[in-house]
Amino acid sequence: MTAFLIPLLIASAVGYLLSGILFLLRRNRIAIFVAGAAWLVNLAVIVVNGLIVHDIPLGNMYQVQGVLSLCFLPLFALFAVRDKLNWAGVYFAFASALPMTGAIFMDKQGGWKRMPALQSNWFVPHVLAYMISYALCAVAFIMLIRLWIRNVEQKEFRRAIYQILRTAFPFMTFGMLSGALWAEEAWGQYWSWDAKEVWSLITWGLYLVYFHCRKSGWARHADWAHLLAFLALLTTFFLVNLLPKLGSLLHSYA
Amino acid sequence: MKFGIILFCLIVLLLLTAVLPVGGGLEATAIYYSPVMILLLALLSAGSVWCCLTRRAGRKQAGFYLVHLGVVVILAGAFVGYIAGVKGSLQLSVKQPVAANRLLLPERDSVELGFSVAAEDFQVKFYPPVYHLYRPTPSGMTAPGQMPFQKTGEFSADGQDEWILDDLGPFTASNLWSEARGEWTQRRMLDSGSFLHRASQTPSFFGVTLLVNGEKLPVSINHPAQYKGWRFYLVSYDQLNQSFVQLSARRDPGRTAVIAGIWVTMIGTFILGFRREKGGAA
Repeated sequence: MTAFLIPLLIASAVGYLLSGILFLLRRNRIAIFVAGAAWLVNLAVIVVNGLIVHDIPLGNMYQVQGVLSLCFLPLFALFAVRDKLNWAGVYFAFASALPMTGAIFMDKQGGWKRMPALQSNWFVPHVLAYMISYALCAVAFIMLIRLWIRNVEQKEFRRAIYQILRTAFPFMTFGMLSGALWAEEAWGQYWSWDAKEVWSLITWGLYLVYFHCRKSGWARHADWAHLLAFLALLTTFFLVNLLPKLGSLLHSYA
Repeated sequence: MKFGIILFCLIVLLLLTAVLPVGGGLEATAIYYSPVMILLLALLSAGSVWCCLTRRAGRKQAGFYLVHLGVVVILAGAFVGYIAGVKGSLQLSVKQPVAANRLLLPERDSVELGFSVAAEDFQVKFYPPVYHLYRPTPSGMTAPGQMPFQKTGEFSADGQDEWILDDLGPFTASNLWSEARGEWTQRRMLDSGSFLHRASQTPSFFGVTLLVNGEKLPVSINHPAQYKGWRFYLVSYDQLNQSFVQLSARRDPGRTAVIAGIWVTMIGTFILGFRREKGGAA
């Protein structure tokens, strides 16, 4: 079954990239159609991963990247309908291509089994909440870079970024606090000061700085807080697992 | 608001000193429980309460109040637990139930539980194993100090019974189960020097029954047992001989407050994040 995976991953990543290019060319209808097709292929990847592990495929970075990619399109639909952010499709499309492209090159270990600590009702909501928040934070960050690089309608961009991060933050809070409830149930302590936990708290704190800056007289510093918060997010998600010196014992499987 | 920003930044900086891999001289837990950290968290709580008191009350402010007061309740509960809570560990034999009535504290001290605890009926179950296919490295291709084999495939005994081992052809996975020993074979030699090697097996379950003053309380990971204000958590077991289990036990008067605060904060952030703001659409 793994033989199907590489072509599916490539097809989905290329689909998302193509959709981003079409959004750039203002061919929005066809861009949405292509993004939808890529999303369906992405879904097929998740199903194949699930069939391989006989479980919800959230056991390693490769499997999680596939789920992360899947989050973007439904979230774009939400913002397009609720906040009229149809013009932001290009950022969602390119952002969804990134984890899918990364997944192509990752070790597709099939032997993952849920160890007893992971057999909790908190497992799926905890990881999914983080994936939703990370997806939105990635889109908001790409928009921030765009804001800095090229002259765009500043007020409209800043409000869109704020709107996206405002939706991301409750999911990030849920992810962090549900992890605490889960840890209390499993090990008898909400917080172990594990590297991944501390970095997730730093990330959460820096996004709080962003929100408070925006509402205070220090609004001009909000962009910097946003930049630092996203760098902390990247550390939480990738670097803690990749760099042995930052290593996480409790999250070695995540 | 600016006071809050300064506090968040100071807390983040303090946390960074503990997790950044520079210097290596700082003891992380000393930072997390340092008087400076406790002071900053106390100021954060006071600031949050002050924000709530000075904010004009209104139905639309529900999210704001819930988030700020939720954080205060979490920190207050955690502080009560830090001051008045007791947490320790105990190792119990499972080959032959031996009652213990003292809890070993992290500082090598111990505390009386007020009742006796023993363990019986220990169970551990494993998932079917994963086998790695190793093949001999072609002659002259082995680097000094390297094993003359390389891993070329991975097969799970959980899925299909028939594996296709590349050019070695089909293989029936159930042949690896040894009925006599009641376990999966460690290594099976194949043609041309190749072999299948069993990777370490992942446990699917481990649990034990605690005997507390004659009462039977099952404990497994994610399912702690509760007795007279104490909560018992199964942490690990003797993987070599399965002769003992390691438990942690905790009595925390702040637990209810922390859990309530967590739920209030989570609900509050969702109300705040999804509330329509003036001129909401971007």
